[in-house]
Amino acid sequence: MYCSKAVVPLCILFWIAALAVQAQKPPIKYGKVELTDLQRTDCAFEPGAAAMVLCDYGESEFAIEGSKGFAYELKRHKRIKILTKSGLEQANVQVYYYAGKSGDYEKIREVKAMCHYLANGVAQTIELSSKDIHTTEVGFGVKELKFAIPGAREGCVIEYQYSFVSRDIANLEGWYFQENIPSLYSEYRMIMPQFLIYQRVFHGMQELESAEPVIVRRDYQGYIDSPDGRTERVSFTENCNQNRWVMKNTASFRAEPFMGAEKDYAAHMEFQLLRMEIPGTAAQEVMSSYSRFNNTLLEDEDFGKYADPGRFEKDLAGQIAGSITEPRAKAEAILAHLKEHIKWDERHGLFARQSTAKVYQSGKGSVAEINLLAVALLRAAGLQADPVILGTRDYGRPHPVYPNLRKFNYVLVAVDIADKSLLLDAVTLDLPLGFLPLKCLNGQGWRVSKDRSGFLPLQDGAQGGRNTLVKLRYENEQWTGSAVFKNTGYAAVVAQQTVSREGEKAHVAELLSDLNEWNPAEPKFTRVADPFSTAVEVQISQEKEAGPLLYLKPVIGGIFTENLLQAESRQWPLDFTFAAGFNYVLTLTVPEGYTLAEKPADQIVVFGDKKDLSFHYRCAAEGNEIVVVSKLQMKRVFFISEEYADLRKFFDLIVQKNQEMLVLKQL
Amino acid sequence: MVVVRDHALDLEISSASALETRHRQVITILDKSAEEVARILLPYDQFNTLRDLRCQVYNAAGALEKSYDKKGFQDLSYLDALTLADDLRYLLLDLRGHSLPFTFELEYTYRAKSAFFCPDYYPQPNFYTAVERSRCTVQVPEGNSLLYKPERSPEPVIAKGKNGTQHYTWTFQHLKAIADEPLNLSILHQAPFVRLHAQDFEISGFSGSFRSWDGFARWTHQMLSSLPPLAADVVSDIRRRTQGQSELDKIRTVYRYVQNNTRYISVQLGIGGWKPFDPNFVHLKKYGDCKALSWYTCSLLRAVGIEAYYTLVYAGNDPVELDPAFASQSFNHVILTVPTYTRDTIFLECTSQTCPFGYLGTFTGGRRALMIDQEHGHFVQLPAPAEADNVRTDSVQIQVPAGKEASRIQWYAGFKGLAIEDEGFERAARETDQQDQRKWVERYFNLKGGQIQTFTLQLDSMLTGLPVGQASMEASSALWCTRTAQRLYFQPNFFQPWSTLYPADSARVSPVFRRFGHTYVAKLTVTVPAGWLPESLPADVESQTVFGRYQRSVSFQNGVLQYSRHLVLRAGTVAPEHYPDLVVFYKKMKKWDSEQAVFKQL
Repeated sequence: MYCSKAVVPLCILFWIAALAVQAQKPPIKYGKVELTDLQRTDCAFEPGAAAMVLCDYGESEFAIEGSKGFAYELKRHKRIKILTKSGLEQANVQVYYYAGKSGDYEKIREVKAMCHYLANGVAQTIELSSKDIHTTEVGFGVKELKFAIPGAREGCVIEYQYSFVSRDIANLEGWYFQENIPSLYSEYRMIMPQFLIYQRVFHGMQELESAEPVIVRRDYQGYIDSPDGRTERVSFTENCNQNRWVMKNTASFRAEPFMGAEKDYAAHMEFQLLRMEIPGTAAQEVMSSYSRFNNTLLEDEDFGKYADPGRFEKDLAGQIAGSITEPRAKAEAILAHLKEHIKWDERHGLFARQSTAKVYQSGKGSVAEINLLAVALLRAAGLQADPVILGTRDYGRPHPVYPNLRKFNYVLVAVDIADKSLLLDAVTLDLPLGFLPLKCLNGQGWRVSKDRSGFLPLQDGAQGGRNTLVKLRYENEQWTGSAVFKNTGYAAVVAQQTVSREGEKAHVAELLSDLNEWNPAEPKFTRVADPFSTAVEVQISQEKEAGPLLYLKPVIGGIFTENLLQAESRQWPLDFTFAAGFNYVLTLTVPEGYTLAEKPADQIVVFGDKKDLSFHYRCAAEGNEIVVVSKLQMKRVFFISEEYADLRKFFDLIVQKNQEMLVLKQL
Repeated sequence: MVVVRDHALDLEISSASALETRHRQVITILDKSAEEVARILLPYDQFNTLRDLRCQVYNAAGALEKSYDKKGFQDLSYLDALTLADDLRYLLLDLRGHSLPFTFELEYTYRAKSAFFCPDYYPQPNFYTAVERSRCTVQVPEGNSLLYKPERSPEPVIAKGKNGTQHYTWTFQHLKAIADEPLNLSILHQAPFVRLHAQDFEISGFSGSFRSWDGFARWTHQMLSSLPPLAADVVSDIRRRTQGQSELDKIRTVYRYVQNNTRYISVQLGIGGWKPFDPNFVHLKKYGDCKALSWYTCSLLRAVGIEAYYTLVYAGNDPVELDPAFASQSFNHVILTVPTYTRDTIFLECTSQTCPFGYLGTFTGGRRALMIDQEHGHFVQLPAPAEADNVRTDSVQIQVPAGKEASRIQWYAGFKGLAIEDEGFERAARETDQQDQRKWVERYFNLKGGQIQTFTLQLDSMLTGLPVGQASMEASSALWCTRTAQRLYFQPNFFQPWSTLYPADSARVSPVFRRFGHTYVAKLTVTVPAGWLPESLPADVESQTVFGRYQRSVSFQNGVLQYSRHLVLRAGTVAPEHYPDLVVFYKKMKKWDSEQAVFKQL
């Protein structure tokens, strides 16, 4: 469970220790490494680590970049101990930055690196030559600076330093205290002018040491863009808050299956500019609250205004849905039309780059362009619709109180029909109305609207099921029968996407792959539109010699046969995306001349105080029919790590129960 | 499915340092499965520049939908984590998204600063690609001739052109699409193609020739000789380290020294794509790519009196066979050949800090390579261990208690030869940290309801001969078997069950091919509580096929069940008519491995 706290000066939170700020030298000096660090052979608080951060130190300050406005400079100095050969990759360093069209929106300078090592007990060094620093244009304005620190070997200590300068003061680089190797010491200092008001949010469960900010004075001179659009020259000396944060002995971060975006969990601090109160100019609100954030987006030409219907949208909406009166049918028609005519170009993001007409004409668009156009068309057709912004599952989740533009990368459509808000997506093909792409099942999204703004849950009620119906009888030394595997809800969505991507045959083959001993034949794939479901029906058979005993595993497929939770321990919470259900029913006709000798015992297992996970197993003999029912219902998708051990046991029991056999005895 | 409607490759070799290739393709994408082909990636670098780039897209009705020129392409770099710098970049045009089916016409020209970059001619470059018409013409200057080798292709039509030039032409029509069948040979072994090379080439001042393997070796040798020798202090240091050692120990000492003192970093800039770095650079910076690390190791070995040779190879899954009669640039990796006086030749992989001594593995084993010996190139056969030497063993012992408590389990896993590459064992044993090793152990043993109490993970990497590794664990579990009111049962081979199945295909075209043979041994010993006797046990089974052998025996005596399953998969090529036998063999193995042992209490 991550814990976001606004670190506001003067607010004393019990685990934050006091630190001194002023007159502090940086914790490490470039070129000077302790002999004890060179002699270290392991990480005391995380034995067996491949490498460890000895010190990661950052210092940020603001300045005005000549004629280019405000910028901040982050000076970074990092020192790492390489403990084993697999830690050598730490000596390969890469930094990405956005140079943009001008080529200098962000830049890296003053790169230095060196390696310290022991040769016969004596400390030696080797430095990185500037010739061995390579910068590559990755594409889209992004550059990559890379270097390999020379001389790296097991036991050495490497360090590097660089200066990162960026004009993006609205979204400062966050500082990560935790990474995928353990960290002995991480410190971040920031001198923030009081006229730039930032929201700081700390994510993490670890103890963060924080100092009382100290006031210092700094000069600022240069040309800036004032709120009314003019460029003016300013020169002033103002108060700044000098902050300092430290985290020590931090364990390495490890990703685990069934969790959200990794970068949300590793201990870090984020910054979002709320307000600018530059002396001599009017105050400017930037992103202080969600309502402010909402209004800023509404006013944006490439977002809010983009979704306001104009002539083009009115004409197009008329063409598509002019003759339809029922609101839901109108929405369906508009979405179907967009899916037919516009293909996604695989770009995420919130802002449109081309006009709606151009997007429609070219037949290609980004997530923002397609879904904002959908909003515009729905409005033109007389429906109440708004965009909903969110972060996708691997991208991260927005903060519930402090908005940050960087946390959102997807746009959905909310349309109000008959007192209900439907969430739609015009980007993903073969997605029935009312379903979201799986990657969007991530917490909450923000509805950007004039009068209906607010958070909307994305994952609530998301569910998917697998219903399996098997009929079997035994005759002529053969089991024969049929099996129907039906997917509902999001399980059906997943099945449909496989069919669209790889074809029906591939999906059926995948589904039947566990059934090979049952010789599946004549597979039939069907799909029902409402309520949405897909099904595969197949004939099954298996040769079995008639003997004094017949063994049969009643659960032949349709449910997982291995525990998905393989690790014995877990650090992070689990998120299974949508609530799943598995219903399996076997109806078996007892063969002539046989009787039931042993059947699996009935069993009910529940998990959690609210019994939100339950497993029912029942085997009943009625006349000459045996019915076996195996049902697993998962009503909850989020679990904390403390529940992991019991959760894993729960699934082990289910896997095991589904392996039990019926024993039939010859009379 | 893709249909190549028309394809033309026009190649003009002007001299050893200039050639131009014009490509024109008209391709129809029929369905979604072929959409990848509509993602056009055109590489370029310092020596190869792209020009006259044009692409037009037509819809199903034949109407022009869109036109693109060079500006419509994105310009991207491709760097992975281990590549520091590479002047290779790509122009990308993604046509996916046009309504299917659609046709695109693509034209582009490469100008190369060396005749070294002569492309081969592939009329049918992929599976599921039908070809209506394809043509290749090559023009060489007066007094020259083209070096070519048709594979499943006819001889060219040769004619004289203007100014004494010679023209070579190949045409193909109506090539049927080839399906990508399981366990098949690569497309290069099934589709027609023609290898092409200019006789002589020059690149960044280094000349070479494809007229013979020696001509190609000479070029490599020139580049190697242009490098400075190892500095005197490096030489004396390595001599000190190996003083008084036997030949074999010297080689091991040098190899271990390189493994402990270097790492792999790729830098491919200009001629650096073929010419290694100065070995003193590698010594100082402690990194290099396969060329630099191999040459550095070679220099160290020679400094202590061991003969070693820089050896070029095609590494990876689909090696290109080297033809003694036709020299070509078909390499992507470098290793070392070390002939010895006292034993078999040793081959060294110089890019891995943890690779076992002398081990090549599936990466480079089982193929021919080119050893550079001064101005000569010699073929060497890189060894691949035989099926009896690539052994994975899982040996499990279980004691089932009388009551309902958990059973005690001891599980030993052995990995020998190529089997060390199974299931990520080698990487887990040598390269990861403690936490990752624990996760690997949990995943590999994957014991239901299990609690692992202790484990070991070990790979001996300095042995001569085949590497041997092991993993073992002790655990307890109540869920590995089922205990009901009357019975106790389990799947004896729950730890190494066969699961691969292939679909039947009576019209198979490609031979069935397996590059490396393997042996899998599964042994289980279960001590059941007193008073429990078998009600049903899997029968003994033996099956011999041209693809391999499966043998299983089960016995019960004095309260102990012994289960033993031995599976051998043979390497080699088998005619496609026998494929149905493979399908049946795999099906049977899956069934046998899933059979149950059932015990009843008296």
